Amino acid sequence: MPTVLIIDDEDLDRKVLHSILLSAGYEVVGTARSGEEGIKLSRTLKPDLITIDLMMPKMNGMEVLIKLMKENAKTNALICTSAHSDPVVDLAMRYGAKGYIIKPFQARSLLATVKEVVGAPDPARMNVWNF
Amino acid sequence: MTQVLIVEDEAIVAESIASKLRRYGYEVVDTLPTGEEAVDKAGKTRPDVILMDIHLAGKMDGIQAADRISSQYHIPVIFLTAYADEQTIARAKEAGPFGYLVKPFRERDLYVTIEMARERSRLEAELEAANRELDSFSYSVSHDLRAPLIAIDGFSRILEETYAGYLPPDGVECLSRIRQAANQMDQLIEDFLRLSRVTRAPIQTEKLDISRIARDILGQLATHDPDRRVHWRVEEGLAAYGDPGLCEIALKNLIGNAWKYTMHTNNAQIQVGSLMQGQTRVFFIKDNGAGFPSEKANLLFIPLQRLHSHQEFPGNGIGLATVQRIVHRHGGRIWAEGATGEGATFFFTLPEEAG
Repeated sequence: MPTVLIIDDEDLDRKVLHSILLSAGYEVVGTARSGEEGIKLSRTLKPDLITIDLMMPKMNGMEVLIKLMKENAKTNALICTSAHSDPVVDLAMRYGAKGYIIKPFQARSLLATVKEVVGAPDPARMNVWNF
Repeated sequence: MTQVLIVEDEAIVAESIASKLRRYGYEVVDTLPTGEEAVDKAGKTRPDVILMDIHLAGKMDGIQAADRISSQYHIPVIFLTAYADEQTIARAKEAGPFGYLVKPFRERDLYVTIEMARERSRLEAELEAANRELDSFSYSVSHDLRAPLIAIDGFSRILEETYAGYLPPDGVECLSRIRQAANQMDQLIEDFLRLSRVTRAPIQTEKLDISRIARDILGQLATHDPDRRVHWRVEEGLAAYGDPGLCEIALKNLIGNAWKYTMHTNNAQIQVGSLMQGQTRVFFIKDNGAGFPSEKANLLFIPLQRLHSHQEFPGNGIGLATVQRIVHRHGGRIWAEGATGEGATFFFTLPEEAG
């Protein structure tokens, strides 16, 4: 079943994303508050998908993406950003992101994007709530 | 019509105040003998002003009731009391009253105090709303400004790394300038974000070992800058109460400035110490660096104001504004003394007791 690592410096966003993915039946194997922490976790957890918040202090999401892709070109990464159709999304795709998630999170479109990249979650793990 | 709630356990006194107020054109919503009833009524009827006796009939006294009301409902409270001893006044201050009248008082004084309290309460509410709006505005602006910058830097980086061979040397140089400018602006925005965060973050106070924090910061600066020779002295046992995260940001800025502005100084010296000003302990950070024109001391804490060129001393002029906000949020004061070429000293106060 697909495993996910969340990298986001905002506590609330991390929790919201976590609960959306969890309720849909994905296994969130780790969460990180910073790019540095996320890169370290990705090495040990080897998740199927990594979501990266673009706006983080110190190391921004783009730098994290570039570093992750350099370490492992097969990484499935999604970048989380508040502005779509932004040059920033195009840039992320050039650096190997598989797609993007718009903030504030909307469960339906977010899960559609995740499904496209890593496939459907395990139906047995799906929570009764339906987003 | 201005609505007034009277909290007074002596019915005759309460009625006499009520009739005076009515004569001045106020509406008296109720007269109540206990603090418990006052808190309840304040929540239900939201009067414009509350006149509060301190000694009341119930278990809760007027100060406790006022404290509850001002924190929950932001209604201005004026104390009316026969007591004016230091202890009562000190306790009353904690509740943030909008006035304190000692009985017996003149009718006219009561009228003036109520009018001033209303005006101050209105201004405070306006200011609070404006501040909230400004904070959320600067937060979202900072966030939205950063995304395009990341794109500018990222695409320049692709040009640099992938297509540098197609560009003449001057073109490559231009690219590196673009990236440099983008990174400078990114730093500026990050500093603005911190300034806005400093204003919004809740404060959690604990006892701080200022001496240890200062030594740690100086140690880190020395590690990052091994070529510098700086003599520093930190007074032992400096302590205060404050939010550890915020106070560290403030000290990092102040000590970092002392470090930076002594970089062209021979025999650079930094001193972290304290002195007594009356009953108050004043901390200071003193250096013998570039200093500043003493007549411009008032400009130091204004965001983006810089008294030195970027070439001479890099920086963007947000650090001291951040420090000032942190100190003010703790209820402290900050000021500076200095002269061009003769170093600078920054003085500040922090709470010396918990709470």
